[in-house]
Amino acid sequence: MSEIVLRGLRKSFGSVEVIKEFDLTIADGERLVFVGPSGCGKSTLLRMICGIDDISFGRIYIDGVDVTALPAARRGLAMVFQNYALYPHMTVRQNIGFSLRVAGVERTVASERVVEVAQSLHLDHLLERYPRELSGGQRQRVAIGRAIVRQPKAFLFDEPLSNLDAALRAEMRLEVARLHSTYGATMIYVTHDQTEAMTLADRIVVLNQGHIEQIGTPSELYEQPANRFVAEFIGSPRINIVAGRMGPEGMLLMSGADRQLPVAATRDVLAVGIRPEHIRPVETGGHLNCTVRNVEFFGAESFVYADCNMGADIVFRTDGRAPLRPGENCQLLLTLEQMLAFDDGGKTVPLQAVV
Amino acid sequence: MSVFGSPVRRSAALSVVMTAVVAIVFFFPIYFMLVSAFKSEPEIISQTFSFLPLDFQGLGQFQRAAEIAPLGTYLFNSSLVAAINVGVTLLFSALAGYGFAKFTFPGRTALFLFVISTMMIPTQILVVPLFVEIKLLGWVNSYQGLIVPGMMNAFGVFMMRQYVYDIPDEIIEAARADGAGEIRIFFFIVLPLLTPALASLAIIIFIWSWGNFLWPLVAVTREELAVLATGITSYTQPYQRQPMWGAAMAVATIATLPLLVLFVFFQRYLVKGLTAAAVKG
Repeated sequence: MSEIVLRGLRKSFGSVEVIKEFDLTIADGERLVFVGPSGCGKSTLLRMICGIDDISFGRIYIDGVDVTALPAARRGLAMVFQNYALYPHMTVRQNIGFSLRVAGVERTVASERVVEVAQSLHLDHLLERYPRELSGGQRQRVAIGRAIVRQPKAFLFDEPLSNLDAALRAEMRLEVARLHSTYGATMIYVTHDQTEAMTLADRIVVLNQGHIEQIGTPSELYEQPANRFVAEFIGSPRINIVAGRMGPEGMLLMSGADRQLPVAATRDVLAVGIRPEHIRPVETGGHLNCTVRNVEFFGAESFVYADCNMGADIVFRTDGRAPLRPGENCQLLLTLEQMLAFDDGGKTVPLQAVV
Repeated sequence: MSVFGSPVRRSAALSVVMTAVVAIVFFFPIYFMLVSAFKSEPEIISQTFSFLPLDFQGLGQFQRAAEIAPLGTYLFNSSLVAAINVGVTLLFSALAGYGFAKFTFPGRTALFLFVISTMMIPTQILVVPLFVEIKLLGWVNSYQGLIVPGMMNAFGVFMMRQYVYDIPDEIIEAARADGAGEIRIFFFIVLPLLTPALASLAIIIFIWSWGNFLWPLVAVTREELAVLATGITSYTQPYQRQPMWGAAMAVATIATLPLLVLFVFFQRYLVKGLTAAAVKG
């Protein structure tokens, strides 16, 4: 069990700085997820923690011990790679047992541990198989087994589920969550998939171009994003962002809106955001007049795309089957308390209802 | 319809004929050697070539060869030199190839180009400086002098580097994360994954070492250190005795056998190794 502290981490490839002054404390037993678009530095960060990539500046502490100069082998962390990285010439048993063999664990003890881990991952009938004889999901289980078996101080996952199909991904997501509750070790998980981030994390770190945009629980990030980037990155379908500004009477104006909205901002506003579930169609008295463009029906819910003369379509969510068809006119009511506003720097501006 | 059938069949037939002609051209010297090993001396040097021995000698020429020169010693020396050259070349090539492919260090490209450039220098040019070197070391007429210059091979380094490139970095990183040190990673992860390439290289080096004539001729003059390739000359050097072509052919046949056996069983690897180095990159 261990606490991982990152202090002033920086990483440059040549003149390109991919990680900029990174500070973070990961609590013992915490499930932390790094999320961000590709190229944001999340994998690099994980590899630096693991000890695979060098650090340009900064320090890493595990349980108070400075491990910055230690090679990966001596940091006591286990990593699961996106492409599994199993040893192709070893059986499942040898793959899982490799780290124990390296550590000089006594043969009988090691073999018991391997079997135990294999059982917990439902791999016990595959122990004599080679990686090439396994399906993608089975391979990833072996990779996870290889991480578990050494009882590491922390698990590092580098997009472990990206190569799996959707159904398997959901299953393995639960597996990873179960794994954490069983072993309780600190877990750092890198993904670009926000579903994985939202469901697996105690805390999420949203990264963008090598710096932290926001750190928070999944609900904090969703409900109180610090800026437009986070608001847009978290949530599916994406939050609707439209241009807006403060009107003369402290009201917020949106281009194409039929009337001013009764909210006030403390600062100048450039854009407003509203999530698809905070918009609903009404008979009369809506904030927006729209034409329905497309309806996506998913069974339990539908997403409706509507043209409200605001450049981009507005998307909103309805339960079950939407009572709307493409080409129909409708009025949309916005839940003003849930609306977000952003200034010219993209920072969130607090809004207040005007009574 | 022509008498030769369709154009496709005609071109297939043509390629069979061409292959047969080339095969005969290449096979004839081997056949000449084989059949001469069973002929009598006058028959070998006679003006007319007979495809089968007219005066069949049985294993007589082989017996004569063994009586005149220490055939067993030649065989032993050839095997020893080839075995050590193969083993050490494989190890060094894999180590260097791994270093060049997976580690970044200052001067890597320059160093690699330097290694590769040594492949461009013909052996004949190297013979004299190499001889000067082993003379300085006092290795003339010794196993060291015979073996050590053949223990490094730029082609092997080049070939191994190409193959190591194909090993995903993540596998090596996973081993590091699993707690393995660099030496263990090399022997337990990299080397096993190179097995097919190593097999190819082993055959190439064996053939080269087994057939190497020039260096043993220069480095060694004592008969008890001679290898098969140089040993054969002791039957044909006229200042010693009458040239004994039959015995020479018998020894040549013995010398060729291991290569033939190797080729029959491992030609798959041989072809793969030669083409891999050519195509990959």
